[in-house]
Amino acid sequence: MMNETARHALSPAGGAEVPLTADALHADVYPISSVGDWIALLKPRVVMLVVFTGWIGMMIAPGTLHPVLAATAILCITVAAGAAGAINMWYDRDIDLVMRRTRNRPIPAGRISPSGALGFGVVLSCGSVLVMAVATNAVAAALLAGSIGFYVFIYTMWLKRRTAQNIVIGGAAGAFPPLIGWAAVTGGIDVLPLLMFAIIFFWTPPHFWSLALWAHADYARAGVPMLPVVAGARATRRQIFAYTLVLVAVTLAPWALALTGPVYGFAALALGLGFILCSWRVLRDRQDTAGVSQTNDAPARAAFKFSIAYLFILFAALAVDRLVG
Amino acid sequence: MNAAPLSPAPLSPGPLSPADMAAELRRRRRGRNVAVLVVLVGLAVLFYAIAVVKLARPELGG
Repeated sequence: MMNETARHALSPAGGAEVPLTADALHADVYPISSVGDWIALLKPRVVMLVVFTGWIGMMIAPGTLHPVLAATAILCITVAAGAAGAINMWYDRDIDLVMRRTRNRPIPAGRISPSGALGFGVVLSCGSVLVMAVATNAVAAALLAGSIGFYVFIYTMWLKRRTAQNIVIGGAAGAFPPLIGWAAVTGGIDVLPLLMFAIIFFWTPPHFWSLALWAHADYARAGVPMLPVVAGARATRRQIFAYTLVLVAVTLAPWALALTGPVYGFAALALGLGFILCSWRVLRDRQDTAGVSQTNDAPARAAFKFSIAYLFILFAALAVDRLVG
Repeated sequence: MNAAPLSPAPLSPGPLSPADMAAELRRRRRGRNVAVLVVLVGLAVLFYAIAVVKLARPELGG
């Protein structure tokens, strides 16, 4: 049932000019979602990185896959990642409303109903897994289903609101795509895609904690136990640096194991040194006795931006290495 | 739940007249209908293409 304000505001015959307020769009009234709102539900910016790493996994895998099937596999990874994001938005709609960064998302802003978002996410999830199974193989489809399930059940529903290690373990969900891409071509998994999984897994904590360092007030308000909220900024900076060191070591493993050539090796080394420098700056950021940044977390913001470029370039180097090698 | 800070970003910030709102709703409904049509046609083409590839070139992942 529409409330009276909304009925009046949305009625073409409603009489005088009526302001379209948030109240008119909220509660049980969802009359004006646009295509853009449904696309926003799929978290397109997050999906881009997921799709890119999945595509690289497919590119460097030994073997061939017909271009139509390869494109279908990429489409399935894209849709599945977006669907998991939609279900995540459905589940997190209460905290999204509280956080400044997320309050304008389609559900908390009242442009899409929670049940509509859930249905959208579930249908797309099931559809993407089924099409992946038809177009490629059962292993790729199972991994795709696993990645959706991990993100929704393990990260979103279980870990996110319970532990400061939420994004450490939950980061595995975002690490699946190279495995899926590889499996779509080969029908199995191998050491190199497992190392790619490990790279994304260890990249996630410094990436997210850099963001959380300056957005921790939002997380605290929403009651999400991100590391800066629970352990403080100083401990978070130490963890960012430690995970960056582990990450750089893992990125060098494919080269050390002779699974890749020098193009990737030198790229991993140079990028790793850059990331270590960024993390070192985060660690040594000017701060008060409580660990609060005196620079408006400028090093953390820089590290966050660098981390995104880092993963893109690192995986691109992997593909270039395979092409020239 | 406090709904005060909500602001539906895609809409114009000022008040809309009923006629403008009806036009906006029609525009958005049309947009969604077109999107559904594109998705359905796209799926039909995709399934056709997958079927053709699977039948014609089974050695390439068929």
